[in-house]
Amino acid sequence: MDAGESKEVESAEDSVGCRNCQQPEIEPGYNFSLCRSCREQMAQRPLPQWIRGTAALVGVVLLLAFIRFPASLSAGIAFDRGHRAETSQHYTEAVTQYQKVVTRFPDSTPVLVRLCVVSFHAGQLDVTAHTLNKLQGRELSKEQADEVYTVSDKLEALVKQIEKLDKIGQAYNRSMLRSPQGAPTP
Amino acid sequence: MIPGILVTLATFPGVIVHEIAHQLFCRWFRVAVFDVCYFRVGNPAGYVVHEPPRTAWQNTVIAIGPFLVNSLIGALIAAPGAIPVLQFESGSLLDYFLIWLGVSIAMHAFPSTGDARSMLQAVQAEGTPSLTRILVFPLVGIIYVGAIGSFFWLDAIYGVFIAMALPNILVGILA
Repeated sequence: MDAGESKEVESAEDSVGCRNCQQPEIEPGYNFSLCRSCREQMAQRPLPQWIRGTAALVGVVLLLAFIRFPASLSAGIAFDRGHRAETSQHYTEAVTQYQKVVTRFPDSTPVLVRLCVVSFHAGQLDVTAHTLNKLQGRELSKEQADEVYTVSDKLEALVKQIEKLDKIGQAYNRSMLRSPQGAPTP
Repeated sequence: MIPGILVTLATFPGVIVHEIAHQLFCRWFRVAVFDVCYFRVGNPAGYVVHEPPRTAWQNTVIAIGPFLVNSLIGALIAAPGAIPVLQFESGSLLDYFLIWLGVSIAMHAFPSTGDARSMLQAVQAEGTPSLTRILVFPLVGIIYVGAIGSFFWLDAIYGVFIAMALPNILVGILA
C-alpha cells in the first residue's frame, strides 16, 4: 500500500485568467493559471488543527528523544569500548567502560555478565561478587550461563584458598603470640 | 499474511508526517495545493494534490522530500530507544514507544509510484534540461524499485533498519 503521494492536476494552457478567481492577471512562469494572490493563498494552505496537534506531539517526542539520546549514545559507546578492551585483554579498562554502562542501565543482563567476567580477570573480586549477586535468578543464555558459572566456580575456589590462607595466617599469629622468642621452629 | 491496511493503521504517524512534508515542500516552492488527505483507510493512505511545479527539480524535491524528512525524524526518534533495547536488552516502555514511532515514520519514507509518475512527467516535459533528465531518471527508477519492493516488505525493512540498526552503527563508528 502506498504511504502517500503528491498528485498533480493537469495544466491548462488555454485557460483565460485565474482558474480560481477568474482575475485576468495570471502569474507567469507556471503551467497552471492562477493569479499571484490565489497561488499564495493555496501554497500557504493552513494545516488543520488536528494535524498541528499531531505535529506538536511528534515534536515533543522528538525533543524527549534528543534529551535521552546523549545518555544512550554514550552508554552504547562505552559498551563497545569495553568490548574492544576485553577482546584485547585490557580488563581494567573494560571494567571502567562496563561500569559506565551499568550506571545508566543497572538492570542490563548482557552488561552485568560482561562486567562479571572482566572484573574477575582484572582481580576486582568485590565487583565480581557484587555483579554475581545481581545476576542471581536471572534468565541467561547458555553462553552467558557458561561464562558466569565458570567465574562463579573460580571465585568460589579462590575464596576457599583465601580462607585457607587466612586460617594459616591466624595459626601463625597465634603461635607467634605463644612463642615470645620469635617464629616457631619448623 | 498481515493485510496492508492493518500495517498502515499501526503505523499511521508515518503517513501523516509524509503528507505534511509534501505540503511543506509545496509551500516552500510556492506551489498551489488543491487538496490534502493526511490519513485515510484506503490506497493511497494519504495524498497531496498540487499544481505542476515550475521546474523538474522542484518536482523532484516535493516528491522525494518526505523520504529525507521521514528517514531523519524516524532515526532521531528511535535512536535513544534502539541502543538500550538492542545492545543492553534493557528497554523501558518509553524506549519501545520511541522505537514504534521511529519505525512507523521511517517506513513511510518511500516515495509512492504516484510521486514517481509526477517526477517522470516533469522530466519528460519540454524544456527540461538534459542534465536534470540524466540525474532524475535514475531516481524515478529507484522509486519504482522501492515501490515494487514494498510488496516484499522493503519499506518495513527500511524502517526497521533506519530506526534500529543505524543508531547502533553510529555507536560502532564513534566508539
